Order: sequence, then C-alpha cells, then structure tokens
Amino acid sequence: MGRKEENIDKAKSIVENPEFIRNIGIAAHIDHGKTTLSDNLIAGAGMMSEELAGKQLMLDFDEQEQARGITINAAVASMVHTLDHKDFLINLIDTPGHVDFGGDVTRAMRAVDGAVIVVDSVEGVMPQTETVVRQALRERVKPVLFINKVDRLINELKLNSEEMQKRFQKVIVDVNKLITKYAADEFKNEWSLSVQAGKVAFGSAFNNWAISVHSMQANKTTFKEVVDLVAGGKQKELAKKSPLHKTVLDMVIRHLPNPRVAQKYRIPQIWRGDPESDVGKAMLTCDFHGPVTMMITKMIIDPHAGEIAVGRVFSGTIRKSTEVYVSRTGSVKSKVQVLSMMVGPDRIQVDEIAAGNIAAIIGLKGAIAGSTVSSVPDLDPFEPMVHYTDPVVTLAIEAKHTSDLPKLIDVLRNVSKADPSIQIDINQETGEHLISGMGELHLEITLYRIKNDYKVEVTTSEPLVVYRETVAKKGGPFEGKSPNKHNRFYFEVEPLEESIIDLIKEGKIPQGSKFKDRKGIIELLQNAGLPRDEARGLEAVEGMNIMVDVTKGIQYLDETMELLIDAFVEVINRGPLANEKVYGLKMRLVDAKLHEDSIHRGPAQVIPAGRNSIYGAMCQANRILLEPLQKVFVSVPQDIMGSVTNEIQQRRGVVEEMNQEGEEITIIAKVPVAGMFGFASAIRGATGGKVLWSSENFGYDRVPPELQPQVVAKIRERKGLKPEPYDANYYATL
Amino acid sequence: MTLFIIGLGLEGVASIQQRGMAAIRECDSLFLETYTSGSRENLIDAIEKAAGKKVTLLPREKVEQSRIILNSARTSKTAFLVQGDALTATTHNQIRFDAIAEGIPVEVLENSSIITAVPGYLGLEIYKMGQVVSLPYVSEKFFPRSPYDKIIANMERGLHTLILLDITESGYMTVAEACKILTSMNDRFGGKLDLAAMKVAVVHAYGTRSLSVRYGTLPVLCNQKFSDNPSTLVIPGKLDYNEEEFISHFTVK
Repeated sequence: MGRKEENIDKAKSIVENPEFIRNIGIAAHIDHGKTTLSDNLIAGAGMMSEELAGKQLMLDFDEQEQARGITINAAVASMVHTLDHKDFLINLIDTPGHVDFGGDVTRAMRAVDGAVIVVDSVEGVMPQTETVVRQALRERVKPVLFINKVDRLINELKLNSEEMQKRFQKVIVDVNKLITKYAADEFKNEWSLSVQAGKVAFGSAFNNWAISVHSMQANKTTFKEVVDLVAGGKQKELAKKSPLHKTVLDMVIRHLPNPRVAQKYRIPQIWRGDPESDVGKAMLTCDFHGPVTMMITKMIIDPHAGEIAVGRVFSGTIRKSTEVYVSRTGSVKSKVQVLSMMVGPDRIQVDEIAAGNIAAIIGLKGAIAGSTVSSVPDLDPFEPMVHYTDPVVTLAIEAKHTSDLPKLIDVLRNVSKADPSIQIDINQETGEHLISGMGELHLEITLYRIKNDYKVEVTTSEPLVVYRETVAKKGGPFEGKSPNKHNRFYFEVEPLEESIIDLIKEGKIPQGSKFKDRKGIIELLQNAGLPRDEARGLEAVEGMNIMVDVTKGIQYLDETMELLIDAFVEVINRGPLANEKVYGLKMRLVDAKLHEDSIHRGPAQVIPAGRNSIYGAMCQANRILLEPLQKVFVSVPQDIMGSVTNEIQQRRGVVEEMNQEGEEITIIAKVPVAGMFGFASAIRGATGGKVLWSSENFGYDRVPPELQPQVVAKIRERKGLKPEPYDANYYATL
Repeated sequence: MTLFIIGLGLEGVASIQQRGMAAIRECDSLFLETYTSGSRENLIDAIEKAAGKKVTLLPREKVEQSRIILNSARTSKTAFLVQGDALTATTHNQIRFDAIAEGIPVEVLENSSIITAVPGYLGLEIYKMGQVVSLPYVSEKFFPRSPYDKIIANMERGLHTLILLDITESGYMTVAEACKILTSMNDRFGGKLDLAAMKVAVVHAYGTRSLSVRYGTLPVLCNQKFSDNPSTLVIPGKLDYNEEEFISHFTVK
C-alpha cells in the first residue's frame, strides 16, 4: 500500500471524531503564495510526491489555472497529519486570490472553521489581505498567520536579523488591526496573533520550510541559525530539519478549532433556526447521530460525472443511497448516488461522511452553491452567503451553430450554478444571452470553460462595462397616468440613505416583498435612520433600492400594490437613462387616484402608470450614470515607472499612492473598469514584461458629468434605443 | 368640426336610431370601438353598407390615446360608434370632455344599455339594483377584493348585483370562468357566500337570435353550455313577490 492509500484509510477512520478534524482555508492577496503553500502541505502529508510539489500546483488542477499560474476554483483536499502520536484529518480548501473570483472566497469561508492567512514578507499586508481577513472573520473563521517568502528578505533584500524582526512585527500588527476591526467583540482579544503564542509561522512555501516558536523549541534552533542556513544556500537542509507542513499543520491543529468547538459559536451566525430544536442541538454540538444538515459551498460540473455538490456537513451522517431534501426544491427528495471525499482532483468514494467534514455528493437535484441539504423536510435554510461584489463586466454570447442553442442555454445555466458570481440574463431588446462576471479575466476563463469543458462553440461581443443608474437629488411627486387615464400614481424618488444600503448589503434587510419578520425589519430600518412612516410603509426591496408607500387610506390601493411593485422592479432593472440597473434609490408612493371598478385598474393600466411616475420623478432628480472602478496595484522597477503611470492616465486612471521599496515602485491607482480592457497586454508591452500587477473591484463612482451624455448615447445605441434618453415631459404625456 | 358619439344599442345595426344613422351617413370618418363589447363581423359590414363608407376599428389602446379620434374630429365630421349606450364607459366620457376642452363641438346620440336591459328582461326592479360590479380575470399579482366585497355589500342590503364579465382579445369571459373566479374569491376572502346554494341569473347573447336567459344555482349554471357570445350575470338580492314570479320563468335545473 502506498503512502497516499494508507493516508486515505487513516482519513476514513477519523471522520467520526470531530476532535481530530480541522477544516481550514488558506487566504491571501494574489501571488503571496497560497497555492504553493497548499501543495507543499498536501505533499508533506503524503498525498502527493514531494518532488512534484511546488512545481505541479496540485490544487490548481484546472488546465486554465496552471496555464495562468493563478487559482480559480476553491478546490478541496483532505490530508492526515500526526501530532503527539495522534492522527488528525485536515480538510483544506484552497481559495482563489484574484479579485475576479471573490464569490468563491466567500463560499469557501462558510465551509471552514479556521484560516491560514498568508502574507508575503516583502510586500506586507495588501488590500486583498484585508478583504479575505474580513470575509473570514465575518463567517467567524479563526485565523493564524504564515509570513511567506522570508528567504527573499535574506537573499534579495539582504536585511539583517533586526530589520527582519521589525518587518515581521509590522505584518503582525497590521493583521491584528484587521482582527480588531472586523472580528466579533468576543473574539477580538482571543483571536489576536502573536509569535509567542505560536499563532504565527515564518518561512518559504516555495523552499518548503517554516519555523515557529514551537518548531524552534523542538528542533533546538535559533532564528540566527535559520538565517545563516538560508543565506548559505542550504534551504534544502532547513526543509528537512523544519519542514513546512509540520510547522504549519502543527500550528493549525494547536490553534484552529475543531468542528465541535467551532460550530457552537458559528451556527448562531450562519443559521437562524430554533437552537432548541433537534436539528439546532445537533448542529451546535456537531452530533453525527443527529439529523443530516449540510451546506453546499461549491458546485463542480464534471463532464463525466455531471454535477458534484461539495459542502460542509454540520450535523448527522450522510450515507450513500439515502435520500435528502435540498432547500428551495420543494418536497422533492434527492438520492445520494455517489459520496466522496476530495483529495485535490481525486474523489475518493466512501459510504458515509459524518458531521464536521467536507463531502462531495453526486445526485442532488436542483442544488446550487448556497443550498441547504437536510434529512429533515422544510429545514430553515442557512443564511445566504454575502457577496461583496456585483458583476462589472458583461458580454453577449451566441452559439456559433444555431443548432447548439438549446445546449448553450443548458451550459449557461450550469455555469452560473457552479459559480453564482456569474450572472446570465437575456437582453429584452435583442433576445441575445448576456453573461456577466467580476472582470474581464473572469469572463475569459468562463468562456474558455464553455468552449473546452462543455464543447460548445460560441461567438461573443466585446466585453462591456456594467453601469448603474441613480439620481443626485429629490424628484417628484410626478404624476404617472394609466393608458386609460382613469388611474394616477404619484411617486417621489431620492437617493437612499447609505445606512439603509448597508443593511441591504449585509443581508439584514432581505430582497423581495414578502417579509417574514416585518416588525423586526421596520425596527431595523427606523434605527438606521429611515423616517417612521417610510419604514412602516416598506413594500419592496430590489437590489439596493426600496419602495415605500406613505399614503393613507386610499381606497382600493392595496388591490394595485403588487402591480406597482412590478413597475418598481421593472424600473430598477431598466433605468431611464440607459436601461442599466438602478442603484441606491428610494421610491416613495405619496398619492394615488384610482378608478372605482377593478377592471379599469388591471395590470395593463397600473404597471405603465407606476412606471411612468417613477421614471418621470427620476428625470426631475438629476439622473446620474455610475461606472465600476478598480483599484490597481502595480510593482515596477523605478526606471520604467513613467510608462506605467502613462498607461494608467490614458485609461482615465488616477494614481493615488506610490511607495518605494529598493529599486521597486508600487503604484496604487483607481481606474474605471471601462479603461481596464486590454490593460494586461498593454502594461506588459509598455514595460517589457517587467511588471507585477493585480486589481480589485472598488465599487461605483459617477461617470464624469462631461462624459455622461456620450457614454449614455453609446450604451443606448448599442441597445437599439434612440441616443437621447426621454425627459420628464415624455413621461407626463404618456 | 364635430364629434358625434353614437350609441349603437344592443342589436347591432338594427338598433341604430334614425338620428344616429343620419349622422353616420353624414360623417367623413367612422370609428368603432371594439373592447367594451367585442365586435361582430356582420356589424361592421352592415354599418359600412348602410353608411357607404369604411369603418376604422379601434382596439382599447387606440381609443385610450384618443388622439386619433380627436385629430379627425378637429378637421372633419367624425363619428365615434360605441355599442350599447353612448356614455356608460368612463373612457367615452373622457373622449367627450377632451374634445370639449379642445373646442371641438360634441353631439351625443344615446341608445339603450345592458345596464337597464338585463334587469328589465329578468323582471327585476330597477329600484333594487345595487352597485354594478365588473369581474376581472385574476392572477397572483392582481386579485382584487373589491368586486367580492361589493357583491356582499349589495346582498346584505337585499340589492341585486349586475356583474359585467371581463373581455380579452381572445374573447369573452365564459359563465364557467366567472363561476371559477367567484369561487376562488370566496375561498380567498373569507367564504361568506354559500356558492352551492346561491341563485344566479345569466343573460346570454342579448340582442341576438341566440339569446338565452337562465336562472338557477351557481353549480347548475356553471355546467351549462352557452354559445360564444357575451354573457352578463346577475346575483339577485331579496326578491319581492313580482320579481320572484317573473324570474322563475327562466329557472333551469
């Protein structure tokens, strides 16, 4: 039996002992060395040959990922590690670091209880470090820290021991600041990191060594000896003496919680059902005898096996061939056809997987990333996973051969199921399919998959920016008339309070118009500063917009409300400027005049009347077009810095910060996504390839007023509309 | 010039009054609305033959925009032909007053209406009619309660309810559909009506040779066959001695 097989056997024997399980993620800024760390951990634990690790990038098993050298999917690997003669099962979820794949990071965090935060000692804490730490802490995932690329400090930057200590200290202080900022109050102190407590390790993932307080004690080495070995070109020796996987996995086992410990404080955060119910108790104690509950955190579409649902089992034991319920699919039962553990690209089939583990299941009908799976029908679903970013780039996609159209529709559905940060829409004017994602690269990779994994030949438009519409001030009340003129509605619009937008973003105010806990929502809204009559009159939430009814005692108005909500949703999805989605608007219904007879105020009358009123009010409120921005980080040798700033400025970018580090300059700039198309190859060309860069989405800002008319005209023409948007007079005469 | 709003009555071209027919012959443009009560092929033919000129059919959206009619009336003698009486529909009055506001002279030529004809035919007293109700096609998002409430309110006061049935491009609401909608309203809004025992009258295809008038319990009428002409429903309130005798002539079992 090889070591890998042996480990698989061991792994199978541990799955029912939560005390010996750790579910962890590795999270970091791009290029700080996550995947290299993951691979060397897996290799060290005997799940792949040590020779290959660091070269093969095992978790980057997608061809695309290897070609690009970045990690796209959050893949899972289970491994066995021994500490103090006890075997532990460590389920490792690798998470992507590129900003385009933020959705995957959020989902991976739901599955794990602890995270190894990786920070490059040369670069220090970067903005995406903050993003991933925030995501981890929000899910109550406990962090430890691995400071990577220490060999570069020694061999390239030639820092002495004291200078290095200073640098480490800064990284630790910076990460602790993030913990203080984002952790729940009860964890702020307990989770703060320090070298003395053993919650920080240092090393080189690439050269396969790491040290911590514990490892130095055990090996009786000093920091100076380590520095000497590295400086003397003896990193291989160091890797034997103080191997990466041992130091890091020891730290993981000692300091990151097992599922039973973690679920006690994580379940109340991620599940709002009754903690006193059988299911609640089973989840809180990670009881493998209890009812099955599982949350799907990733869908993998395998060309042979079909849809594979991967997720965390929170209670009970999932058994092959049993039946379970999937949330939002009604009372239909699904059969667990194939059950497996994931070891990198391999799925090892097993007969059962107990609470506290990560399982991969084939056979769950209708499951998507985010679904709740249970042996109990109608279980309260897990809290939705919060996404920090909206799609910012879109393109039109068509099947090259018309006969492939049904297949393409199917594939698009699968793609968005596997990656919910991909959005599929149909353009109402042209009937073509639109695919939207987090960035140019995200779409490129998705298209690659459609062509290579699903084998559908497609043609696409150029990528386009996803704009948003809003208003600058208050507008209305504006009279919107029904086509028969017998019904009139009066809406006011104004920018929605930031505090309310935050509540919606955080998921505290749910989307839609059927509110379960209406009283609680009204209270939340009032506390956040929404006037009392508006909070009580809340009718609907769509995107970051709300509709409120502040009228009093208008007869028959309730009979038209659902239709007005339809009108509101229509407006949100097709703003009056350029038919882009509306963001951050409050629509107040202040008055209505209705026909006595219900037939005279059906859908064909009320929906256009409501729509005209809101559109008209928006026209009076100074319509604004918003465009997505990216924060761009570029590291470049000082002598060619000019060509980089040039490139950024040509793209309407603004350089915000420049930091010098030896011969290297780091430039931080804000650039509109509209300017970012083709940036990758342009910057490579401009610098002769001597550049490292990354970017992250950075919200929306208004299109410069002097550019707005021409940008609007361009979008409208592309959509087959007349270039000039309609004005208030138009909506008044409809 | 002038806008004539001409009620055609309930029997097609045969019920157009002499004054109305004279105006039709005299007008330069003829418009016929087709949505308050669909239009029969032979009606258009008959009018065109009698008038010696083309009739333009106007679906609801066109009438609602009213511009076509007003523009025509501004420069020529224009007749707006409506079935039944001239001004019961709110939209027709809207056009009338829009025209007046624009300084266009308006002449109204009245005719008879289903609103009085139906109770009369059934032998019900006009003095005991309650609020008229339209019964719309309902959906999840449009499920008005007011028609139901009005029926109940009429019944509580012993008044008869005349129910006008919805009409769509694909045709008239059938009696069976109306029964189903009334049942779903009753289920949703508190079940105050005993539908199995409730007596209802149907006046079907008024003004045509297919005229059929029936009186019985809702379940019985619901299962009866009718032609594809329009129907009007009446839910009688408290019947007095005369009404009881008259309406019983139409009883079906």
